[in-house]
Amino acid sequence: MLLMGVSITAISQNTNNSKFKQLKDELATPNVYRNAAGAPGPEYYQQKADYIMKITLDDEKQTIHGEETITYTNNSPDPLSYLWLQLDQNIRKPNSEGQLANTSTIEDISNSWEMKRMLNRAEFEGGFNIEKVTDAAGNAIDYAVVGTMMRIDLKKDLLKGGKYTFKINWWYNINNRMEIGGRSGYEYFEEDENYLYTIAQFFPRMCVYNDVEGWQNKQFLGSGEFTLPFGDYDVQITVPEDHIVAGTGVLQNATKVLTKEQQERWKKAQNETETPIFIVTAEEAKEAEKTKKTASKTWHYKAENVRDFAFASSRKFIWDAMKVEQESEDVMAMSYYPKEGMPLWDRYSTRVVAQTLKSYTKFTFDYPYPVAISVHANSIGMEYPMICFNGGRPNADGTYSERTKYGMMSVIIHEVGHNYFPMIINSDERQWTWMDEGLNTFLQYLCEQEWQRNYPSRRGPAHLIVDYMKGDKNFITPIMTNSESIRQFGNNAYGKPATALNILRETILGRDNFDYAFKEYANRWKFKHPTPADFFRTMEDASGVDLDWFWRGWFYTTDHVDIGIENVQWFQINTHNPEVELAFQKETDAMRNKNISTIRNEEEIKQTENEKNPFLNDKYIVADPYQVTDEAKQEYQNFLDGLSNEQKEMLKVGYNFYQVDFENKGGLVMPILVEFHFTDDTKEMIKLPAEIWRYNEQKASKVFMFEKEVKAVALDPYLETADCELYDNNWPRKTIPSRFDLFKQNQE
Amino acid sequence: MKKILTLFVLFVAFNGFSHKYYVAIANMEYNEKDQQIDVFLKATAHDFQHLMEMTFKERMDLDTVSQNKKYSSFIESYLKENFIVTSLDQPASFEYIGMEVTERLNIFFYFSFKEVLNPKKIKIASKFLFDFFKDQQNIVHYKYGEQTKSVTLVPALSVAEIKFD
Repeated sequence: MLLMGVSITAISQNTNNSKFKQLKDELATPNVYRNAAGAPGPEYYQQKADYIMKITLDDEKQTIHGEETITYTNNSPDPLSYLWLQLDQNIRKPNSEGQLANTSTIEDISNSWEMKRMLNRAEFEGGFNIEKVTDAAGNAIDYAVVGTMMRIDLKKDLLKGGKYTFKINWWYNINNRMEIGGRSGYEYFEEDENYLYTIAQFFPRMCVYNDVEGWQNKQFLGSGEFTLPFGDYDVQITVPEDHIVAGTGVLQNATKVLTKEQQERWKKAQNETETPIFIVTAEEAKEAEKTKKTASKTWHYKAENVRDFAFASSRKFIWDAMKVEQESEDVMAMSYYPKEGMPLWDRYSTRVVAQTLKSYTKFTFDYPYPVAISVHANSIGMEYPMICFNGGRPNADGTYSERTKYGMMSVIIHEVGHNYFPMIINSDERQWTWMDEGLNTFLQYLCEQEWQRNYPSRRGPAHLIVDYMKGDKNFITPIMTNSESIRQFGNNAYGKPATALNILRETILGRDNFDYAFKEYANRWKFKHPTPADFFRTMEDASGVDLDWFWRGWFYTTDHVDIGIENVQWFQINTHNPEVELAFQKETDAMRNKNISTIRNEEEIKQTENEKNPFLNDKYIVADPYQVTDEAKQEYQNFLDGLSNEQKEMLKVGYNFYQVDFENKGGLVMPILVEFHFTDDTKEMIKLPAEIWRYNEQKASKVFMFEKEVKAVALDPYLETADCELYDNNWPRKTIPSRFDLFKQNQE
Repeated sequence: MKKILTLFVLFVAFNGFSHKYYVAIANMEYNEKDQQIDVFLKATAHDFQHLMEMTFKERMDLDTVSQNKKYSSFIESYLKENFIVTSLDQPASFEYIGMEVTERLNIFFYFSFKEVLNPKKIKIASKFLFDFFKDQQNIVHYKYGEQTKSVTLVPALSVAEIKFD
């Protein structure tokens, strides 16, 4: 009866809001497209979009024109009566939803910099100008622009397996990135009157259509980046003759756009694995800065199986490259930067690109593209397939601070790393920022530590997220929040998920098991479109560990970790040996405080009645209460005779028992990592799984048994769990100097 | 009377990385021994660099600003004006201790509040960086004894009270 009562309580708690409730309600029901193991199902499909484009960059007017032919393949079982495209540039149209959806107050523009930015933004005539939309035969077709998206109306449904080819002619004004911001745009160099273009999200791009969202239908408001179907690109980019162009894919016409000498250097770079080789030298770039040629040249790039295309163009570019060897195909790691990037960029960029590929490959798969490019664009970090735009500029005199250096290296690792998440493992950034930023920030941390011992990584280690997680919950959202509704973007979508994964790896699953499961996820969803459920399920399925409580706590709530030691009690077995026990009794009695009356009476009552008259003392009143009597010895002997050998052995060892009471004050359930320090200065770490909290999420007690005597107990001594309050992590309590105390001490 | 707003043309480009979040975290702790509140305030270094460059209209090297009297006295008064603790409607007196820039791209400021009338009930008003970043959030943790309470200040609500029983 009693047992039944207990189990009913547990069940009723579990149907409400137990932290160990399984995620059945949160995750979509597995189906033929995505199975319960977290892998693509037997009928998984994805669409394909191939592009042939002719692009012209006008360096006089800072405009860009494109003629684009898209061939869209419907691999879904559904007939499609319309197609949707992304027009991300339309976020820069005056009064775009992206601009209107942002709040502002007069204080926002109370400094001149913000004011100027706002005026520039309002004045700038950005956004796509769609000149013509036609079918393959050149006949105009119906289309509608809806904010940052565009719908193509099909005369006839596009059925499964069908292809539809159409053309769009467009142009737009390129934004000055330094004045009004943007992931792409140009930077103007006043000194030599040249432009450096980083061009991306620049052509009408097919939206994703899949089994989860149907047509991706979230307008671009600015935070949720994008996702696109994979496809092949054939792109010809016409620029001033003296420009150097870096782009997604492989250059097709090097003989036409590079000098003989540059072609020779390119060949040399393809065999160099240690030191990057200059394809375009600083001297050549400085020369080109002056020439300002008006004739044009066309660079031809092709890229296969990519989800986007981006490029950079400038006459200021210095270009270096070297080879990265892999088990499969080799890759060219390359960098393009103006002279303003030296001496940081020539020294580090390409080498950091190479290191990123090496580190990420270990945790995922061989980098599947032929090139990985880092372009220097000031004040930014933004990723596209095979190419990314990164900040980190030295001072004008060539000096740079340590911060600039680490900032530059971190941003390169991060943006090159994005090739894996989300360019290849193609999650939907407009829905879930953490799926690419979080996973990528986690691998960025691992890569940084391989680049340099104790690299000052900003995110990854558990203790670095503490300040964020213990903050006011009204200003924090769970990780599982749509990209456009996240508060504290960096901590929420980058820092916290990266930390959660690092904790899974170091503490919950262990490195080997985690790495196996993570690699499985990466390989399952390589060149596919995963969802959060696919990630959660794969990590559990491949590791063999139910992590629902972990996903629930870390990804679906804003709880923080704060576990404390509330009490420690020490017990020993009663030996029944009067010699041991009476001595112990004497010792503990001596430690006990005497009450005030006793103390005063000792003085004041000169003699009691029985002290006067010893006749009153029977056998129970003895001079020394701790004296071992023959009677007690006999009793002990009788006790011993009644014991089994096993019991005698246990008595002889003299075990110490410690009951430790833990309290979960933060709410997030986590394993309890408790380290015992013994009087002989040895230590022992014991890990209690998170499930210790499953019946009572606030309090847990546990008895530990040692032969040795414990002198101190420490909770999470290696800062593994992101515990927000450390003062209660030690028994006996220890004062931990704060950062403030340390700084003040150093000053004095 | 009409007020005229003059705009100057910037001759400094915004150096550093643009990022999508602006958070500063103040860790405050009541120091029983000295009867004062000790604070260390952490912010992203280049956000603060931006503030300095916009104020002085010149390129700034954060690693050396504390050696420059003009800059360091500006920093001190900026903090004093933009991070205010009051108790029983009485502002506590601000004492600046120093700053440091770390490799993790953070900047830390250290200061104390003396003459806090009732350290168990204080009001914190922080407009730190609000003039420069409209998305700026200032998280404040205040530890009194063994308890910690947190508030987050945003431009729309830049004052909050923390009370301990």
